[in-house]
Amino acid sequence: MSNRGQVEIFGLVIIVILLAIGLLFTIVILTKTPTREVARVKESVQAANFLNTMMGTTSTSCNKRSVRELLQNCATASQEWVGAALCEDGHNTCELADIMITSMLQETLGKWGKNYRFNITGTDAVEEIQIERGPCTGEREGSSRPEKVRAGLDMVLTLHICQS
Amino acid sequence: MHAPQVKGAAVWDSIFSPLASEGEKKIDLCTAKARRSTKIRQNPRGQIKMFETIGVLIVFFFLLFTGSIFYFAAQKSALQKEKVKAGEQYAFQIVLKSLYLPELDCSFLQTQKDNCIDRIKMEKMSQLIAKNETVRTDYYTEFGYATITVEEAFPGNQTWKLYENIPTKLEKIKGEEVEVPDYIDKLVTQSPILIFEPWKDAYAFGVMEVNVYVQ
Repeated sequence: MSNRGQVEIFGLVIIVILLAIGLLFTIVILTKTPTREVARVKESVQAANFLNTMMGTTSTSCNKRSVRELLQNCATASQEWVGAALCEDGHNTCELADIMITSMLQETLGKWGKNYRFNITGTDAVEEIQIERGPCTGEREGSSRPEKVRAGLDMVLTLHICQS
Repeated sequence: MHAPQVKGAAVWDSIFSPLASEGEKKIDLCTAKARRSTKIRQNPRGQIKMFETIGVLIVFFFLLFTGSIFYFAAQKSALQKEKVKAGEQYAFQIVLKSLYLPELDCSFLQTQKDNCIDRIKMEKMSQLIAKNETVRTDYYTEFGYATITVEEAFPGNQTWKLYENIPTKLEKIKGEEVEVPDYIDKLVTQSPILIFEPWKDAYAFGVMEVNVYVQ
């Protein structure tokens, strides 16, 4: 009789364990955060569109040069933007490109409350243009865009939209 | 007459009395069985077995009920997620449609510039949609319930409303029928876009904002 009782208690314990596991799974499924697939695609397209749009935007000074032309000129300068062409308003092409990109980023991603990292690689002068807002430690979506400066010289623009 | 009567009674007794005693015996046996069966029903072990079975059934149905509640809750949550995802995809489709509208593109000698809208074309189109009901109905098939605005972010800060169609319903407020917005959610998507200014031959940096209303 005592043996049978032990078996029954054992069965009961197994049932309780199974129930607990089931409950745990249910809680995990119910509290699972929604997937960010569409949001990821959206942010990636946003970053690509931003780079494309930004490069085509024309400046109000500097003979209506576009950001692309400003950066192409800036890329040929040496460190600390020495050698970059000077515009009518007193800024050189690197400074003007920096001002324009900063303003565009602030008016868009900044206004939408998103943190970002923008940087250019290729030459010393353009690598000095680095714009960022807030921390960027977690997940991020972004886009890179190669641009020709002249034959044999390229620069790559990268924009990351951060989650935190 | 009397004698044969007595004789008849004796015969009757001789035939039926053994049978009667047998019947009594049978009745006695039935009573005994009935007593015994009553004893079986009142057996406490049997009662315990029955309660045990009822208990098992109660626990089984309780578990079934609890399990089904959790299952349906999970199903509902999954459906909700699917609905949100479908809504987001639909909103993104509308964004892409509005970004590549042939009516607004910047074309030069049959070549189109990517991610660019012509400011003059945009102004004319927004005026046309705002004034003409037929045109608005035509674009409804493309955009559905949505609001599309274009905002210049650099160097200026002008805004144009390209298309607006907010779902509404009539509601009685203080006895008067008033049109109120009828949507449960609004999905907002912004996308940078070039605004070409033909008379200046310049490109401004703009943002196209698409609000899609989910009913």
